[in-house]
Amino acid sequence: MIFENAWRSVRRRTGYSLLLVIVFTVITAAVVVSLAIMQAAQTAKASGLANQSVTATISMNRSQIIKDAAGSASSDSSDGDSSNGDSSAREAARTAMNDMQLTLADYETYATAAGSLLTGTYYSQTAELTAVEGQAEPVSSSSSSSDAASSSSSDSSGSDSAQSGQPSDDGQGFGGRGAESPMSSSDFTVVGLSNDEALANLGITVSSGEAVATGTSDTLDAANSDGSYDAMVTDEFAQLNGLSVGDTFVVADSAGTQITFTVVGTYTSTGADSGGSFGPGGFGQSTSDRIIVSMATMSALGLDTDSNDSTQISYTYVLGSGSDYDAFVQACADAGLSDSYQVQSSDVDSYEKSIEPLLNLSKFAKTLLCVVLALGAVMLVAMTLFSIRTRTYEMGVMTAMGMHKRTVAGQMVVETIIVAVLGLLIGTCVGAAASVPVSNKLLASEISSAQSQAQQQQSNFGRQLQGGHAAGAQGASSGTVSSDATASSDASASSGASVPPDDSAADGNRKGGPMGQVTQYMSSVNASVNLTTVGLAALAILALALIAGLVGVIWVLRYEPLQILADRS
Amino acid sequence: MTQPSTRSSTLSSTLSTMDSAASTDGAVVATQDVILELKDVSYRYKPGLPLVLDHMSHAFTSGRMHAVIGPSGTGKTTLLSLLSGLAVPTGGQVLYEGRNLASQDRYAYRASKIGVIFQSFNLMPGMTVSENIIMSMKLAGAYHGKQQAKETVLHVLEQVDLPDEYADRRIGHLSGGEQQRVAIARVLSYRPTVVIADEPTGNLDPESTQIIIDIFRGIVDDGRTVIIVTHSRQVASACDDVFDLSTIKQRTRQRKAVRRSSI
Repeated sequence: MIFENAWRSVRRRTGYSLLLVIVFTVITAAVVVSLAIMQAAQTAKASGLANQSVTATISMNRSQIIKDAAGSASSDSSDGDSSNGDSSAREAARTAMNDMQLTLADYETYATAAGSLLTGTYYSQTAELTAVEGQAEPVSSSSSSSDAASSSSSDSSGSDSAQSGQPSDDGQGFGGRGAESPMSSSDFTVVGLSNDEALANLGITVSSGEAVATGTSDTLDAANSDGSYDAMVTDEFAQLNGLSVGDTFVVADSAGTQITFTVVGTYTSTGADSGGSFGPGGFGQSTSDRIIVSMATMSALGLDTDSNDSTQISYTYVLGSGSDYDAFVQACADAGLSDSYQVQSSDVDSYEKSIEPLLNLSKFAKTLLCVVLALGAVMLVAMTLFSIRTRTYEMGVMTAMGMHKRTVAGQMVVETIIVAVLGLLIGTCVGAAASVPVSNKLLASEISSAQSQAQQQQSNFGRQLQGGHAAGAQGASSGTVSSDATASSDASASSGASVPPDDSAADGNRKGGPMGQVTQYMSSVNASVNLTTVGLAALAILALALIAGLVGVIWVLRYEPLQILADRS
Repeated sequence: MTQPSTRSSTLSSTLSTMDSAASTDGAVVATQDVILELKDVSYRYKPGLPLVLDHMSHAFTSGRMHAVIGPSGTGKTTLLSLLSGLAVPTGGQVLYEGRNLASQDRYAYRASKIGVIFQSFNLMPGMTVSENIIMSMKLAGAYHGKQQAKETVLHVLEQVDLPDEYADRRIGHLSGGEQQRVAIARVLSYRPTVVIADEPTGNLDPESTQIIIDIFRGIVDDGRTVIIVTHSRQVASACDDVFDLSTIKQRTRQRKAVRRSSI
């Protein structure tokens, strides 16, 4: 009887019921859109990388090391002697960083600790080589010597022919010059690769010849029959020195020992080094002067970390899923990784950066949701109060006729729920239709705002300011994420959003890719409505209806029928 | 000068005379025939206000038509409110079939045991005539389906001399007299044991008034009870018993005065 009376009452009071339905519809639509956006962001954050493998590296936490060194230096220095304290802090930090270089064995310990979280690992080792006079010239010195000639400054460190970068006038070319002294302290960077995965993640494209065979000395014989070692060089280096596939060139190590390499292929860099395989570029090194060899070659030449203290190692862990990243960080900590080191992933950083506008939008949606619900509750309570006051006589008659107060109150609540359900149905349809276009529109606005901010920073400071973590290189270009709230990367996503700083420095690891990469924000999101969203919206709307209905209940219970009828009379 | 013992016997005699006068005030006082009884009932609207009813006792026997008369302000409507369970007495008891109304579900009592015809009708304004009547039937448990309800509605409308087409008219579209008949029809629809009516013929012409009196008589002939508050001599004269509130109040005042004087 309650439901029947309530339904009849709703139909009888068409105008008021329609108004309530409209209010509930608007509230529902706003709630649905907000929830869809929040859910899309949550899914993108939680599972965006779930089906994609990501790479992670371990690097020194320089800020922590410097802080620790400064702390110990200030406790050792005497009062008032702050300048000595500062310099000793710097020395202490430098020494600490040098001493804290992880070895290959250390990296492999953490790989073991990670266990099944990893689908693979790879590493590269980087050492410095010097040019031999009369032999192959580095691309970097060739350009600097031409600059020197134009500015009329001379370099006294070598012969004129070496400086010019051209074959000498006697036509001897590069070969057969013998044991000439090196032109400069380090002209080339040699990078040894552990396996083909390192090669695949190097971010290079082979232009001619073939890729150098990778592997360690356990699996590969490094030296050729003529005593040379296979290597890949850049196109620029090959062009400068007139090299082609099969040709040899000579460089020297830090001890002056000459090394002969055979060019098996030339390459160009695509700038998409996802795993930091190139390691440090060395100070003042041009990327064009990188020589790629196998780890077996490095070991044979005594350039690996076991033989050479100055060799840097860049170790990359490959995780099967981005959702394993946190577990990997924990596994490293459990294996004893101290606070002086940090686990980083350019893939995770890049992805998080790419979804930053979406996460900001989600925060906005959450605020909007709270405001809509609060205002909606106030409005509904006010409307119910107004309606109840006009129906006081009706309630008095019903109770005078013998209807229990609780029945009358129940009828009021059911009436509110009926209109709420109607509003919920219509509002859900409206919200479902509007959620995707509205969310993408709002997301575009967020991205535009982020881009404007980035450009402003670029023009003010000459570079993008770091915001907590480096803006990674890859963006979200590694494919779509399949979930209910699909987060997809638009290939035409806005570029030029930001340029990450190069802070790789001396620790041997790069957080992001090479310089010049931009952040590709996730520019479209499929914030579609699913059962969870509808369920949550229904709960919210029903809660509002109950709150409004409660007002009616309290009002009904307050009065006695005689009082109502007497007031009417 | 009267001696004390003489004075008290005089008091007893006076009280006894007043009680016998009250007992012959139009009611058969066989206890088993009493359907509704006021037992030393007092009532005031709010604390601090004077009593509207002061230690009143009266019994309404079943199967009779009772008229409650008295000038304005004597508490007739208040009496009806107490009898219908809309008000709770400040003192004393209202008994229905010998049981205190305060210990019963007053809502169920109003819904099915009695039928109240209010002076201001108190019909549901947004509903039709039919809906008003059917709602009462449902509350009383007399609703047994749409067809039965429809037939009952037409029957009671016929009883109060309203055409069938009035069934679907909204209450707001009816005149005062028509609304009054609908209020009576509403009560007739579920056949309560007691019908309590407050000025049921106030808006009716003499012919219509006689129709209503005949309806009430039919109820009484059916073994049920009708209690009518009225100013109408036509109605009062048609009733079996007349309960004059002003006389009761006067006698109550006299009893108090006698008691005070004897102290």
